[in-house]
Formats: sequence, structure tokens, C-alpha cells
Amino acid sequence: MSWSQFFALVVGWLYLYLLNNRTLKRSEISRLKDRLVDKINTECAWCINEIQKESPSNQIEQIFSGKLTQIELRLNQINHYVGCELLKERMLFKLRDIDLLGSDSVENKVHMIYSESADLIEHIEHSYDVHFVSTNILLRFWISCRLEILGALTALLIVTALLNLINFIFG
Amino acid sequence: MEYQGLIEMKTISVVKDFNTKPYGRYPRDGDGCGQFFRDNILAPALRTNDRVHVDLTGYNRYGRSFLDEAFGGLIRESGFSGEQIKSKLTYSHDLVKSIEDVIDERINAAIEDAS
Repeated sequence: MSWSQFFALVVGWLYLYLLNNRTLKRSEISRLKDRLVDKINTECAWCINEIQKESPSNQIEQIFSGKLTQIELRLNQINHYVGCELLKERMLFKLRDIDLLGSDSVENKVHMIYSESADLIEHIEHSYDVHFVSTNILLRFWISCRLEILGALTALLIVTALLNLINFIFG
Repeated sequence: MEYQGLIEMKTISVVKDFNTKPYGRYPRDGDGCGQFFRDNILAPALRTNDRVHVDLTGYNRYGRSFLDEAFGGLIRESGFSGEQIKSKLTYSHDLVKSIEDVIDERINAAIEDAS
């Protein structure tokens, strides 16, 4: 096998691998994004329900804080997997900062929770749209596959160097 | 306690030095309330050290009321000024960064109320 054939073979494998990986990754990210949005909706709906039932505010605050932490940790994982920030974890502070123990009316508290959660979800959907739909395909490809590309190039370099070395030693 | 040059810096771990499950604002909420943390640990540390760093790592469910009473209360109740707090106090949580932002917001709100 000549060098050009070997190179073409490697490039072909690489292309098929990246294509397959891209398709799988994109569908996985879409699924994770939808699950995150559902979780934000579910937890905020729980909080609204508890406020309307007039459950003890201290307990609602504590439990809601725990639920927001779960969302934040999941968001960290998704951002890391996607390779960009669908949503900055710190933006969840707007939900954490709602005064559930204060003297505001139930309607105001419910409105604040709904408003902040809607902002977060819109931001997630917009970031997803920007990253996967509006961004230039090459830039998007680089962002999501840069580690694999760098790894493949390094491997190619090592294999090429090794083959050259063997060729040199054994003539 | 650490010494950075001639500056005395104290690091407080909430879960190790105070309570493993901080909760609530006032003593009626329990031993882990924000008022106890502020009055018994944080405010005295700020008075006797040049810098204080609060490490919130180890517990991930801090309520807004605990954070507001513990940190915002430094200005409202314990007599510290906004400038003192901004120059002497730092805080961090290794895992849940939005908690740091809530503390920022509570301190800023207390400064605004005080002015």
C-alpha cells in the first residue's frame, strides 16, 4: 500500500467516524436539552404549587434550593458535553434569589418564578439554536469536535513518524 | 489562619466550622441559622482579621434566607459598611457557582438599603 492510499484510507475512516459521531452527539444533545427544560419546568411548577398550597415557606425554600442545585449540576454536565455554554450555571441565581419567605403576595411570587424560569428556558433554546442552527458549519464542527480532531491529528502524526522511522531503519 | 505578607487571612468552612446543614434565618429555625453563623463566627472573624474567606463547599442547598441573614445581615445588623465587606470578605463554592451570585446580590441589596 502506498503512502497516498494509506493517507486516503485514514482520512476516509476519520470522515465516517466524525459523521457518525456528529449525528449521534447532536441527537443526544437535543435530548439532554429537552430533559433540562422539562426539569426546570417541573421543579418550578412544584414550587408554584407548594406556594399556592401555603406550605411552610422555609421548607419550600430549602427543597427548591436543592432542586436548583440538581439542575445546575446537570447543566454543568451538558455544557461540558456540548462544548459551549447553553446556559451559564450562574444564571440560575435569579431563581435562587426569589424571596419565598418575604411578604409579597402569592400571585407576585408565582409570577416571579414563572418569569425567571421562562427567561432561562428561552435562553437555553436560543443558545441551542445559535449553536446548532445559526453558527457557521465549520465553526460548529470545530467547537464540538476539536478534541477528536486534535487527537486524530496527533495519532496520524505519531503513526506517520513511526512508519518513517521503520522505513528508515529497515531501508 | 494564613498570613499573606503582613495581611491576616482567615478561612472559614461553613460545614466544618459551623453546621453540616445550614438552614433558616433566625434561632427559631434551628442551630444552623444564618444569624448564629453571622454573630458567632463570621462577624467576630471580620473584626479580628484583615481578610476572611468563607468556603461554602460541602453543602449544596443553601437557602436564600440563610445567605441573606448571614451575609446581608453583616451590613444591616452587625454594623459593617459596604466598603469593609467588599474589601475584607470573599467567599466561594467549588460546585454551585450561583450561590456566590446570590451572596453578591444579598450584600448589594443590603448596601442599597443602608444608603
